[in-house]
Parts: sequence; structure tokens; C-alpha cells
Amino acid sequence: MRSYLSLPVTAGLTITAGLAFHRVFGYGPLLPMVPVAAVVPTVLAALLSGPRGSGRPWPLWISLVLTVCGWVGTVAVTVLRPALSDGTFPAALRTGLLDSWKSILTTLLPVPDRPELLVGVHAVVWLAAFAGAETALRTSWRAVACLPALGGFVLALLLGVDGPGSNLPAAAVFAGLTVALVLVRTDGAGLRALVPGVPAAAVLGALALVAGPFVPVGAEPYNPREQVRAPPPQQRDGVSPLDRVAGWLLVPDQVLFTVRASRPEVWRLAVLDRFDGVTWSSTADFVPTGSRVPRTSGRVGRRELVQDVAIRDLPGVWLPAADRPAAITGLAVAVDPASGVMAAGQPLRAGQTYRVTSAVPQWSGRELNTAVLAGDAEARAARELPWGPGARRPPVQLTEFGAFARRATEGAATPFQQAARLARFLQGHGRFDVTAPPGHGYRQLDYFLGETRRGTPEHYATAYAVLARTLGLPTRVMVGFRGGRAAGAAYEVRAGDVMVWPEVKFEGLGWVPFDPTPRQEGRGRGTGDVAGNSAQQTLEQAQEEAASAARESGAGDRPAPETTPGAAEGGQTSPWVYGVALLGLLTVAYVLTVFAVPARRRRRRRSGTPAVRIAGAWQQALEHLVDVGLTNARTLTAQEITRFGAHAVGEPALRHLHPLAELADRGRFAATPPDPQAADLAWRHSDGLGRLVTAKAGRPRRLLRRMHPRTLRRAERFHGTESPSP
Amino acid sequence: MAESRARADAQALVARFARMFGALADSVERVVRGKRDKVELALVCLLSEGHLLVEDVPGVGKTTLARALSASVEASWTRVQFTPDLLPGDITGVSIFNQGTGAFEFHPGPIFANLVVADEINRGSPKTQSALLEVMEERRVTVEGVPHQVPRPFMVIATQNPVDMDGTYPLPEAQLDRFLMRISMGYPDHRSEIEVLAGAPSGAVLDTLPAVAGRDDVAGMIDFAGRLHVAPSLYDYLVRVVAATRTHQDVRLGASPRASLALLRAARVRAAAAGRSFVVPDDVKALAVPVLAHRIIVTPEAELRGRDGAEVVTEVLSAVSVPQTAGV
Repeated sequence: MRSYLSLPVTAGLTITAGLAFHRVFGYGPLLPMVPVAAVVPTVLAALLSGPRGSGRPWPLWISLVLTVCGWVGTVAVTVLRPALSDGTFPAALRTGLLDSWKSILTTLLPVPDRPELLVGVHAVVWLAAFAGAETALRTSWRAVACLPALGGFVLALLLGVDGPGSNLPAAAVFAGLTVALVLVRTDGAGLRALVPGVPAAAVLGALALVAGPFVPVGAEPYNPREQVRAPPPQQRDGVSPLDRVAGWLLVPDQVLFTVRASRPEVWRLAVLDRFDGVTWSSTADFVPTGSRVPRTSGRVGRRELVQDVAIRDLPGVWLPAADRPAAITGLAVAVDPASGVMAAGQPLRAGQTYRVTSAVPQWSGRELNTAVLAGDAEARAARELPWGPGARRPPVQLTEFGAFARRATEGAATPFQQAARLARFLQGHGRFDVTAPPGHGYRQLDYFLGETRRGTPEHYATAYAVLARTLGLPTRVMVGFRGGRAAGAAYEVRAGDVMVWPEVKFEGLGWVPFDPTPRQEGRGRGTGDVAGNSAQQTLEQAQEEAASAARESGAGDRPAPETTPGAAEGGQTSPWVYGVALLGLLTVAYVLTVFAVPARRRRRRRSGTPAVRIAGAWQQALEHLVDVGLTNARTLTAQEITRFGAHAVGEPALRHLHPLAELADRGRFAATPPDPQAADLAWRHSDGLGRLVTAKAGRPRRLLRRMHPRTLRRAERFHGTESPSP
Repeated sequence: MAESRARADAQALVARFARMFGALADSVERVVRGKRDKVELALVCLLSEGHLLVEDVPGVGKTTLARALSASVEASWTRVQFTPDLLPGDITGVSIFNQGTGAFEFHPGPIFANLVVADEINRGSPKTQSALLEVMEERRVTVEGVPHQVPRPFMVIATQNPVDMDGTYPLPEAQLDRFLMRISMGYPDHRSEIEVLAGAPSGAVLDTLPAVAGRDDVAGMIDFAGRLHVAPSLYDYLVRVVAATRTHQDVRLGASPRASLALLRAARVRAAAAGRSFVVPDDVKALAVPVLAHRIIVTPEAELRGRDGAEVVTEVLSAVSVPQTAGV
């Protein structure tokens, strides 16, 4: 009966484990699916465990066969009902079981609730419910029936890392249900035995709940997605957006896309952060996403903007959107979590639409003026200036570029001033010329900076990036569009609105854009221009002030300071504090355990049959003798141990050891079982020996020995490993 | 109730066994002074229906031990002095034609006694030594196709001198394996030697040694010891000990399954002699060296290092874990 009472609990555990997948799919698709997938196999197991004619339950293999059939039927009429109607059910089932995990792992969470992605979760929940129910019905183990659901729960936690929401409440429910399962499956005597463990479990649980969030190691959980890589971006679009700029500028009136939004912004298209000496390319690591785009770190204020984008003549796979996208709907896209740049799976077609919700960064003038350079891995990579493909020595132009950049930024006191000064210099010493030959290698840049200083945004942005990198500023190149012209409720973005600009990474602020491109003659700032945006105006004003301040201060050439993540977190609690707290916590837990485990072992030894009690008394005596130097009793007989005890403790110990050894031998090797009086006598001798050992070794020494990790070992590991004699 | 009565009966029988064993040992020790442990081993060997190989220099009491044993158990004993010209028929007996009856008559040899002292057995030729093989194992002699049973109890106490090896024929492994134990008497300690001088056992003393037990008593003790309880974990322990001698790095040939049987029989007798109705690991450990050491052949390299079977068995005993009660 107790087994059947366990079934609702195992079903509850499985439902909890199934709902823990909410960080993967959200609750919407799980709520109708998981209870069915948990309850049906439980009921099936309960029905098949009933007695047959022979009075025994049905064999397990029959249950297995029937549950597989039941699962296929249930999936067919629930999750994969559409596939059943159009005849693709077998293929969908196979895809769901074999490929859904890879799809989930390579998709940013939450993943779309497509049937073939839900099949895998359905199978896991079903299997866990069936295994839990069968374990509860066919075994007498108390807590083992929770293991299948625990496996499902762990799988949900692994797949849900990076997902929205938290599984802490689910974990609490799971722990509660596990306790309920143990209580339901425990009789009266077992319940009494469990009682002493409850306070310790409660204390440890409370400690874990309170201290867990402060443990530094919890900050970066293991993420299985890091083991799965999407194809590199080069395979997505054969033509770099940077190479399209010159062509777009020649047909400035071609409408590429329209954006319906409350205000115009700069519509980012692509990030080019790797320079090999000749070309700029992207290191973006694209991951498919259902809708969400992961947030970026940093302490920048943001303002939400919803954009409805309609594609007209925009080629390639890159999707324009304001920085930084938070969610996208309407298209199957992949996202680079680092930069937030989005790309479609297939080349864009006219008429495609999608909606993007962005959180546009808002920097204040004070933040920008006091900003320090970022020092993370991404920033370090954005300072690299390779020699060029196949080059065996550094190009001579690099030295000239360095000298040029230092002259251009002379007097800058801060990195932000350096960056602003360099942008102002290029803007003020060049001309916009759409006829300039494209190219951004070292030779082309040398010609551009030294001779013509006439070019398109491509030239100015790439020149800025190389010059800034010679100064140590982490810089990348962006391709995008200005806000466009207002056309009714939308903004029409044309080819002539294309922008290429550099961005410099600052600690806590992220990538800050700069505009080194001179104004194009005959092109004023329209209502759709980003200059009309207040946030952009703030940025430009800060840059203007920084450039002016640099000119007025006349400060010498100073190297750009670099910060480290640790220095930036100076106001936060030191990891040492966490370390000490964790050490203290572990010490308390260790002390509690090192005293609780032997105490529990002693209690267990004093219970059971007389033979078991005598054996327990003997084991206890051996542990006493450890305090006077007994190191390994594995190969010693009872009489040999008795002789050791007499030698180590003194002759009085023989009064206890000799009869105790005889009782132990009789309990283990005699044909007839000992009586309870013999067990009582054995424990009296064992306790008497303990008192003698305490007097001989001293309490401090015994206490120290009890603190030794050896006390946690199982007794038979120390005293021998043989099977008990019958 | 029945169970407690059976337990009391078993305990009474064990106590009687222990008492008789002690009396026998006391009786023999009246003649063989200061060698209580050797005397007890010899008695264990007798009550296990085994044979004893005493390896020691002359004059330390080997023959006296055999005579005292036979006198104490009211048994017949004979002594055979092994020499190179000793023939098998000199031991087993011969068939002689009786002119009166007109038929061959079997004349039993000295082997037909309860205790047979085979003095300096390694001086007999291999052919003569092998005459002992059948009788030691099967307790019968076959002469001209007719088997003749030897009396019960039957025990061969063979002696050999390990020092003077000239003109000797070392016992083959097959025959060594038939000896349940090999012991060494050793020189008596100072006090015991003085006692020997003060009251040297003469033939008259040995002849007047009172019989403590009859042959039937001894047979009963042998049967009782063979029924003593042995826990399954003890079987396991015993087999592990014997098996460990076969895998020891210094051993060329380890102890045989016959050695396991011999050790078990001897352990049962020792347990009963200690007043126990069950065998404990101490019994196995105490008897392992005398029972196993002579059956082990160490490698030539180990022999060069001075290692012998006794050392190997001692090492094995210190490495094999004794049975314990797990899970508490």
C-alpha cells in the first residue's frame, strides 16, 4: 500500500522536473504537456504492477513494451498531432528524439515551442515518470524512486542555463517532494531513525540557501552550449558588408528597408572586429534564437525602442536593428550573443518583415569623460594589429601610423579624449569622396592618410580603427545606416544612408561609437538623421568637449591607461571575503559531520540482532583502540587485537578485551546465534574499554583523533572488507 | 528448548575433548620437558589423522616424543631405522610360503602399528620412501594385490636430520605433501635442560607412563573434531591464505588443495582443544606455518636470499585480511 501511496509523489516529482524546462521553452507549452506525460506512465505502471493470477506483478519487460507503445500513442495525439495528420509523424518523431537536443543547445533561450523540439522533453518526462513509478512499486528503497525525476531535473537545469527565470522554487518543491517520498515509504521505526537527521539537514539546507548565492563559484555555471559551435559567419554571407559600402554610396536613393519606430536611431548591420592587415572581418559566433537576444554586461542606462522592419532591397543575411537588440520576432535568425548582431538563415528577400525590441544605450557626459579602457579578452583582441597575411616582419606603415596617431591626439589626457581627438582630427583633415577607390589594407590606408585624405566612411572608419589600435585603444568597425527619411509613420533607409564608424570599448560603458567621417557635401541633417536624436547629441557633445579639452590642456603624450576587471570592481566585496566565508562554512559542516557520522554509527551498532550488536560492540572497541595506536586491524584476529590492547592500554584492558573478543568470535563464527544478554555484556565491555582508553590517551588526544577524516570512513574499510558471516 | 539443550550437549562434549587433550599433553610433557607447544602440535596432528615430520638434529627428543605419545594413548608403536639398504618389504611386510598349510601367509611389517616412528627417513632409498606413500594417504598396504588395513589411529612420525645430508635422499614433494605438519623440536631452554638432567627419562619411565586415553577414545576424539562447525567466512579465509601462497612472488610451488584440507582438519582439532565448538581465525593462523611451510617451494632467488616457506606463510598471514562483520 505504501508503494502505491508513493506514486502521486513520484508523479509530482516528475511534473516538477518537467516544469523545470521552463527556462528552455517558457511555461506556455509545458503546462499542458508535462502533467499528461507524467501521470499517464505512472497510472500505466500502477495498473501493470497489480497481481496476476500467479499473485506476482507483470514482468518488467511487459511494462517496458507497453510504456513505449503508450508513449508513442500519447505523443501522436498530443505534441505531434499536426504531423500525424499530414503523414510526417515518423520523420518528426525521429527528428524530435535525435536532433531536438542539438537544436535546443544551439538556440538561444527560450527556444520556439515547435513540436519536434518538445518531443525530447516529453520523452524524458515520460521515462522519468515510468522509471520512478516502477522503482517505487518494485523496490523497498525509500528515496531511490526520486532519482529518475532528479535526472530529468538536472537535465532541465543544464539545458536551461542562460535561460530566463529561475529554478530555485522548483528545486525547493523537488526537495520537499523527495522528503515526502521518504516519509511515505518509511515505517514507524524508520521514521524515528530519521528524526535525528532532520535538524542537521535543516541547518545545512538553510546555510546553503543563505550562503549559496554569495559563493563566487556559482557566478559562472557550466553551460553545455559552450561545447556546441554554430557555423562561422563567413559561411553566412560571401560578401562583407564593408565591401558593399562603396556600391551603396553610388546608388544613394535605393531604398534598402523601412523601419517603423517611435524615433530614428542608427541601424546597425554588422560588426567587424578582426583585422588581418588587409581586410576587416567578423568573429561573431552566431547562435540560433527563438526570440531572445542575451543582454550584455555593463552599467549603462538604456532606453527601449520597438522597431518594425520591412526589407526592400537590402542584400545579404545581416539584419539591421538599433543597438542593442533584446528580442526579435517574425524571422528565424541567429544572433551573436557578444555583439548582438543578427543574421538570417537565408539571404534576405524583399517583403520580409520582423519586429525588434532594442535597449538603446544612453551615456552621460560625465560617464564618458571619466571612462577608462576595457581590459577584457575582447578588448585585448581589439588592439591587435597583425602584420598581414604571410608577412614575416611588421609593415613599415605601422610606425608611421603610430606617430600620426600620437600627433593627432597630442594633448589628450584621457582615453576618451584620445578617441574623440582622433575622430575630430580625421573629420577635420579630410573630405568625403564617394569616388575614392575602396580598400582598407595598410598600403591603401597609408596612401589615404599620407596623400589624399579623400574617401568614404569605409576609409575614415578603418583608418581610425588602425590608428586607434596603435594608441592601444580597443577598436572595431561597424557597418550600419543612419535613421533614414521619414515617410509617413516609417523611416525609409536608403543606400546613401550607409555608415561605417569605429567604436572604442570602455570599461562599464561597452562599445562607444565615434564618427571620424567628414560631412558629405550637399547632405544636411534631416529629421531622420541620428544627429537629431538626443542621445546621439549627448554623445557628440561629450566627444566635442573632450576633443576641445584636449586641445586646451596641452598635456603631453600619455599612454592610454588600461584597467583590469578586478580594479573596476574595487567597490565590491573582495573574493577573499567569500573565500573565508566559504572556508568557515565548510569547517562548520565538517565539524558537524565528523561528530554526527560516528554518533549515528554508534547508535546503529547498538541496534539489531544480538549478533549484530556484538559485532557493533567489537567495532566500537576497535575504534577505541585506534586512539592508542591501532592502525590497521584488517589482518589481525580478535585474540591478536586483545594482546595489542593489553600492551597499549595495560593489563586492566584484558578484563574487557578478552571476554569481548570471545563474544565477538562466537557471534561471528559459532553455529548458534548469541543471546541478547551476551550482546548487553559485549557493550558493557566495549564501554568499559572506552573508559580505560580515555584515561590512558587523554580527552584532548581523543578529541583530536575524532576530528580526523578517518572517522568518516565506513568501519569495514578500516577493519576489513569481508562479507558478514551468517 | 531443544536448541539450548543441543548447545549444552555440544559444549559438554567440547569440554570433555579439551580436558582429554590437556591430559594427553600433560602426560607427554612429563617426558618431553619444555616443549608444550610441540607436544600440542603433535597431538593435533594425531587427532587430525595426519602424519608428522620432525626435522631436527639428533638428540632433541624426537623419538621420545613418539614413544611418549604412544604410551599416553595406549597404542602400539614401532620404530623403523631408515638406511640405504632398507627394502620396502622390510616396512610393509612380506608373504612367506607356509609348508604346513601349503599357502602363502602375510607377515605384517612394522608399519602395522598405531604410531610408526620412521627415523631418519631421508636415509632410505626413494623406492623405500615411496612404500610409505600408499599407507600414509589411504591407510592400507597392498601386498601381492591384497590390501591390508592398518589400525586406527595411525600416525607416522618421521624424523630427518637437516644438517648431515651426505648419503641422503631428500623427500620428494609428493611425500612431503602427505605430512600434515613439519615441526622442529629445537633445543630445550636452560631450565628445561636442567630438569632433563635431574630426571632424565629412561626406558623404565616411558614404560610406566600411564595411558590417559584408549584407542577408542582417540578415535572418538578424531570423529568429534571432524564434525566441528566452521563458518563460511572461515572457509573463505582459509582458502585465501592457501591461495596467497601460490601467488607469492618468492614461491615457485604453492600449497595444494590437500594442504587446505589438512589445515582445516588441524584447525578443527585446535578449536576443540581450546574448548570451542567452532573454529576461529586464530586456529588457522596458529597452524598455518607448521601445516603449510614444508609444502611450499621457494624460488632459487628467494632461496639465495635465505627465504623459506615459513617466512612466506608468515608474510601471507600478515597480508590476508581476517573475516569481519561488515556493515556496522
